[in-house]
Amino acid sequence: MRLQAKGIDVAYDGRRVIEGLDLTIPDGKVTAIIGPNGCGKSTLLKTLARLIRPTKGQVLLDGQDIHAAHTRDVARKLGLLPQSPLAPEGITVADLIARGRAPWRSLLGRWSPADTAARDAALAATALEDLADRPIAALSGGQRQRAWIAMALAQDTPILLLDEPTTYLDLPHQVDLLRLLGRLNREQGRTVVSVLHDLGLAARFSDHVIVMSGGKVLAEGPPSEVITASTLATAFGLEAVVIPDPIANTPLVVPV
Amino acid sequence: MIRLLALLLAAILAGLVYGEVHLPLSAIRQWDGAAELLIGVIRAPRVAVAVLAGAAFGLAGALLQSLLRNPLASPDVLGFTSGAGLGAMLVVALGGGAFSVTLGAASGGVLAALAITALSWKGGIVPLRMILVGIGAAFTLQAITQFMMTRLTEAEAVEAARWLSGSLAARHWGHAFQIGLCLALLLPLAALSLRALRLLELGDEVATGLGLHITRARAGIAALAVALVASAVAVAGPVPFVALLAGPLAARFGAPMLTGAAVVGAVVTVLADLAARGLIDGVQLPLGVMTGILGAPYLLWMLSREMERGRL
Repeated sequence: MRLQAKGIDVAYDGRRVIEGLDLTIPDGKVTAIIGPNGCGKSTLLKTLARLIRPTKGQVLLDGQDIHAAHTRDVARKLGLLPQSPLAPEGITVADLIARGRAPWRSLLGRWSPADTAARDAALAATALEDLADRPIAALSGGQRQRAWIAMALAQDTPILLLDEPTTYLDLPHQVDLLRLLGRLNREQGRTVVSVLHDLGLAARFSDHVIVMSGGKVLAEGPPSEVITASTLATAFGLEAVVIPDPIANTPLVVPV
Repeated sequence: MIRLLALLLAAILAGLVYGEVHLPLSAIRQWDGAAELLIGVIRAPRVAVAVLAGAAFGLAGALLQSLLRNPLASPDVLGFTSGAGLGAMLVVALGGGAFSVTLGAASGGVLAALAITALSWKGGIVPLRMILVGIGAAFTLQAITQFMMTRLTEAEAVEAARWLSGSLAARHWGHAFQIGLCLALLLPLAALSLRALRLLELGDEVATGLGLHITRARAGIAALAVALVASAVAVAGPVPFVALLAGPLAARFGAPMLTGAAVVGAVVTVLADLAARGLIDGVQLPLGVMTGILGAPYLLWMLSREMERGRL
């Protein structure tokens, strides 16, 4: 397994958010990290993405401490989409996606055919070909989020980390986006890890679910094993009945 | 961008042809002794210094504005220019030559930048805090500079006062060569920093995710801006507002961020110098007075706009 956390403590704003956490991200699967507000799920994702340095323990990428590796080498293996990123004024879709090529370009290196190929593949995967020359500011919320994902795709990394990628989208666009992530996983074999808010969507569109509570991993495994009435009661304090989804047979949470 | 370059060319020609002493076109065409003296010896080096120092100020301003993502964050507002001015002035007072004046300006600029960054530090760089601390620091540094002047002889003080308000009077080819050399060293670094800036403007998290070492990149770009300011201050004095105006004006022309700001900085400086020596008959105003007249209303407008938007 390529991405692991070993006994990490993480503090944020001087407060300890994560304590003694061990975790292995399954390769080639779609993983969702869920949990109540303030449980440390975003902090965990940022720590896995080397944005935050753990105060104890280490995050390992291919067996090496992620903070000991050269940041550019890490950027060739691990892509990141933070929560609601801000695009600079006037930037176009194609220009934003092109910046995703940064880790593959040398200091003085010119734009290469490989860069063009990666950009075009990212445009195609996110169905943004017709909008390539539009400014990001002129896009709808769903299109804008797809443009950011396209930037992360152009980075061409086997692992993709996303922090609440469905925030501020309406339900059809949330479903579109999660289907897109599923396709990237199936067709290109990428490992996808997202922090998600919606339990139903996490259950429906993931192979592996990590439930966090109070800075610890409470349960992890396939959605049908993890999303149960007792886990929901412990993690969220939510009294609910879990029934099989009539379409996909994945767990469906019905609050009591 | 082509419009800007045409404007620069026109400004340079105007700077060479117009002046206190009128030179008829026929004299220029024949290139007689008067033309040789007025244009070749007096005006050409002056215009050359204006172009190069203006470009350095403009570039430094655009680098810092883009780095701190705030149009107010230029080296003159942040107090870096005043620091460089004080450093250069100390060396002048001690009787240093051209090279040591540049070093003095650079040390003053670096020390001011470090002090202002440290004073405004709050778990990281907070642009607005830094701008407010910088405005205060600029006044303090100018006050120290004024105090130092009282220690000089009268003749030295007059010379220092003229230089401190930003002046291009009596520049010779040595000055142009000096700033040219500095730019030859610094411009390639500016080209390199452009790629880092393009990542930084996506936000710290995205930039880190794309493999940029953000702390190192920031420090490098800030150091480059300080070096550019110091090079310009050493030959032209702490000329105010050129750095503040150049970037936003270039954006209005739709020009690329860094090259555009350098060209606009050059245009503004050449034209301001032309106005300073030609606007009032028989009076040679220092260049800094002219850029002050242009820049101060712009700064006030920017401050009030930022306040309206609730960012100040």
